[in-house]
Amino acid sequence: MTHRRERTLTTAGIARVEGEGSLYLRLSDGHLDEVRLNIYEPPRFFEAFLRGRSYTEPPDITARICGICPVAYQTSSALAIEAACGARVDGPLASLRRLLYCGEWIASHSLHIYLLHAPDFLGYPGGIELARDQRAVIERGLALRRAGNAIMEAIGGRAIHPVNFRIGGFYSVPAKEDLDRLAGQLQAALDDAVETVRWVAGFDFPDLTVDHELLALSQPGSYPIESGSLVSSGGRAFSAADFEEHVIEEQVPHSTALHARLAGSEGTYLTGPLARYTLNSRWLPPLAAAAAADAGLGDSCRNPFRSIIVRAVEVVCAVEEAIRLIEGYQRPPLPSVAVAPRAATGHGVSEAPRGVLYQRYDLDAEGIIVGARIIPPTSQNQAAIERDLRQFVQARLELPDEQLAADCEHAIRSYDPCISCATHFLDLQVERT
Amino acid sequence: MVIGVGTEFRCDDGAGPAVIQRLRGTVPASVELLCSDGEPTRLMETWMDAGAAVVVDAASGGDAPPGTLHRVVVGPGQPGSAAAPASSHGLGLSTAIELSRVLSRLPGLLILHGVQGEVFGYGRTFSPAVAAAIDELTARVRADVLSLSAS
Repeated sequence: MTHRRERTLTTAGIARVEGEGSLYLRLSDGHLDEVRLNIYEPPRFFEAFLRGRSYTEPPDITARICGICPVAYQTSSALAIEAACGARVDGPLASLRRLLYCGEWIASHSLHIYLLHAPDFLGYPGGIELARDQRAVIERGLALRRAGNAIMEAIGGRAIHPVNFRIGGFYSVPAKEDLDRLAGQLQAALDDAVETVRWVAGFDFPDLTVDHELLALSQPGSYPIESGSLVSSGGRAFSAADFEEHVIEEQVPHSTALHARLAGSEGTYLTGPLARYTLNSRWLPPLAAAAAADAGLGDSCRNPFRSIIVRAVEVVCAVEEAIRLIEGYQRPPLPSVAVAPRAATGHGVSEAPRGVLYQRYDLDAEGIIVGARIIPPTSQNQAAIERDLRQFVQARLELPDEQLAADCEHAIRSYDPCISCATHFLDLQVERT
Repeated sequence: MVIGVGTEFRCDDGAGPAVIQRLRGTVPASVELLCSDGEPTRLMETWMDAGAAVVVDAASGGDAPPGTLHRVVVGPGQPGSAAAPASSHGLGLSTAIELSRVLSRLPGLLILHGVQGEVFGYGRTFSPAVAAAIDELTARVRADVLSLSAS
């Protein structure tokens, strides 16, 4: 390697709390030899931290893994533990969980669309510069995010690390008038959400079509959010209980993260908005379906850059669902169902804004956690992103390093990995000969 | 109000919330004590109506040795990212300040306190340098809070 003419470029890297992002490219003679992406550190610390704790604690503890999607962590953990204990949360309590989750989708997607992803398409370094030039646009995004946070505060007690969520349901449930108060804000949010779809549909999108197997939840009759079983574009169908039989995690030399693949396949798979939409677009509620059609999405979407349109459609879906759930809300007689511990293993899965989030808990007879497994979407998508980057970079080998770094950040941000909430998050090393 | 930015599960990043914990019961009850993950739109909407806000965060980057304490007063026309130490959050404090400035949502007075962090991996213990600095950091924040409360 010493004979190579090496050039190393580091982007304006920022130390990240959630993990470090790095991308290494080795190019020679106009060909891309190697792509190594390291964007996510899986939550092994939390898996160890949970062992020895009570079965009632995971919703509170796992909510702290991510400030952007605490409800996803709470929901998957609760589903897993309730399954282990043979309990089932359904009816109005399940609807309330879906409503809470809608709030998280609205807030998370709006942040990503307006402050992180849109600036890439519009030629701005970040959301601040976009706000400076197009204040009304950013205000619309912030109003949408506030609507999502308002739902989370009304049900979860607060938007960050909701404290009202528990195994079996909630500590308390809102009165109908508490939710009815959100109606006006959500009607305005619906208009903003539809306008957001129109706005992002007008962006210019780089050509990139990915052929990964797509994996998402399925809830026939509704767009999957807070529960469901798993389906794939390759014809797989399995329950959360069989997740670890179908999803194999393997260590790769260059990364602290495990790479995931589907059992029986050497190919890559992808979870997240593209997969959800492609496998479930027929279940979108009416306004979201109309917005998707107007945006020209069709029944499926396999261009990661166009995921910004899918996210915008999913915001319409989540607002529409929230309005429907609030209109039909009847306060449950009890805020939770009893969940008695037993020695068992349970599995839970839900659709975090970024994709499928799986958790497993092994309990002893007293409800003490003796084993835990958490497989977040970014961890699952890492191999697919790396493969897509290979295709993406191969077509851009002549670009100077700075432009290449910016384009790669843009490409990676399309997947909304957990690391993406940094304006410049990627340390890029390019080795050219 | 005082806002501690950070997460208790990422070693030195927990400095902000740790200071909030230490301040409880030692400042006037009228002073709101809050913790935040640093998400900028939430920070902005937390402080936008405040007459004065004090923010405590772990800092990263730059040449300062671990444990160094920073204090920056952010004014309406002063670029926070140039004057303040880099927050340990990518899309965090500096973004919140600049976004607030652009959208005219800065509090009347914003004081940033930071401690230079060293270890940001998963864990619940501070690096020795940050552990040694936490009490002094808390004392400096408390002094600002008491001064602001008196005025």
